[in-house]
Amino acid sequence: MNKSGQFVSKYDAAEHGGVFGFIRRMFREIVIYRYAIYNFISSNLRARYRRSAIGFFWSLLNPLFTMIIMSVVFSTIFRNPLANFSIYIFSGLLPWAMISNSMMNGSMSLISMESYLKKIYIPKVIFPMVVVGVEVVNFLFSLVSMFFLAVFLGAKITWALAVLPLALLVTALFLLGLAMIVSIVNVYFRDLSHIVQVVFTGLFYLTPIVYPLEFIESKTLLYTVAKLNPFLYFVELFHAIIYRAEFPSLSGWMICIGLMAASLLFGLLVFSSKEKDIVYRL
Amino acid sequence: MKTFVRIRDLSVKFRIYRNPNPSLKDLAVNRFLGKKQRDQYTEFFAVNRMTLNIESGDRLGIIGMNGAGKSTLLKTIAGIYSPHEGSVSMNGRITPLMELGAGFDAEQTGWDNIFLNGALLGFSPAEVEKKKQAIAEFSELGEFLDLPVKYYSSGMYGRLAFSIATMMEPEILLIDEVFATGDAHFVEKSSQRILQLVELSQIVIIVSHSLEQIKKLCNRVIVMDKGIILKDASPQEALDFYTENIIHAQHS
Repeated sequence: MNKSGQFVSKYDAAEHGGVFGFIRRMFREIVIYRYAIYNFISSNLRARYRRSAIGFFWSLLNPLFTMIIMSVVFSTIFRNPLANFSIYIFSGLLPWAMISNSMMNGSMSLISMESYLKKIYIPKVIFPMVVVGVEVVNFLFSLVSMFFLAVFLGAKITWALAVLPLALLVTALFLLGLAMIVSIVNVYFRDLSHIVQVVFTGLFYLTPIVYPLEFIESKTLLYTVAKLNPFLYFVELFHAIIYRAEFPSLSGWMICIGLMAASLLFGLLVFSSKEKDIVYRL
Repeated sequence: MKTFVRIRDLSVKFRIYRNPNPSLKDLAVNRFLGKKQRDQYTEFFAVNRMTLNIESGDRLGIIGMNGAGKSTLLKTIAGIYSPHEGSVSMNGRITPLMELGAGFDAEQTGWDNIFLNGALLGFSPAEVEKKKQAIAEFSELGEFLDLPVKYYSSGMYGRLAFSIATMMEPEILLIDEVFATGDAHFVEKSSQRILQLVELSQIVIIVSHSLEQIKKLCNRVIVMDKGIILKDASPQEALDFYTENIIHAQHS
């Protein structure tokens, strides 16, 4: 839109505009469609908890019960667990829920919106954004509600918590890049969403969430494999901030920020090159 | 600046895949077995190297048999399909009157859908706020607007969709087979509204099988077949051409 309020637009097969053209357009469209994004996120959250008598409280109670069950089960299995094992589980389970839900819902995000994409113009990139946005809001709700319990159980409130928003931002952007990739790939290969589901069920046990990283003996093959799992580093950010009540190490930050940059870059490349084609493949 | 739509050498093609939903599993298995994997498809042009200039003041009707590429052309102008060759450039805000209700969320109330649809058309909540009373009145849905739209009858659904889609002053109006829905009273009212919108718009592009409607609304008509323009002329001339060459040719 130029100053006179006119809309000038051009769709040209010969002009790709590349990644940078795509990014410019993406930011412009986020502004124009900000209310649509907000609406999709809020209706998604409402739909998730609608059919229950106590409605939104399920978003608080659900992780609470999961945490209690996990704490009981795994502290029984491991006999001699960490101090404050429930807080350890809580601090790993929250980011893990965000990660795995973003990936599973992210892979479905474009094909489940087929009816929109084929009938009206709508910037496709908002759908992976909505998926990650929903998970971030969910994370915050669970965090706030469970924090009281965590403090009661002995979690310390320290200045380390001040960097929690930064950790959340880095994780969310990392997930956005990945969600953009899986959303596109799933249009071409519809079985990807099933594969994602299996992979993340496995990764849940490979990532130190229900056990501490020290449980895996170093210099073993399993340790090497565990260290190759990129999600470990993000979960470790939250372990440091919430469980150990300390600032994550510089190397921890660098790895996560590096992974975030790589995922966003790759996500934008994939999305910008395939975005125009997917409507023909839905 | 003048409103215009310029279409240059535009081609839009569709592929029909032998296997429309390949799986990663197949890909991996075939790779493992050493089978050559190739996407097998047949390709056809829905719009084939079309050039068309539409200027301010044009009320363009597009007629043609099913599959002639009319709707694809309109959806390409609306930005839903991207050109495979050539370009579409335009100056002016697009108001699509097609696939009404496509942006509805069945779980949300009528009021919420007014805002959602407005947002999908690129309007801010503040802009929709100003129009919502007019939309509500036009739809005559009254208290039903407080209900989720999944409880609406198809007539009510259509009435709301129509009321939202026609609320803004259009510059470039795209109409695809939109006919008034609902009871006789609403049909009459919405026909009036369409006439009024056509009057207000700088450019109108209408796809319709109703030659009556085309004759009534348009001052220029193109006849399309297999993605190309066969005739670009005054309504009378184009309609005569269409009846003689296309409809009769089909029957003989």
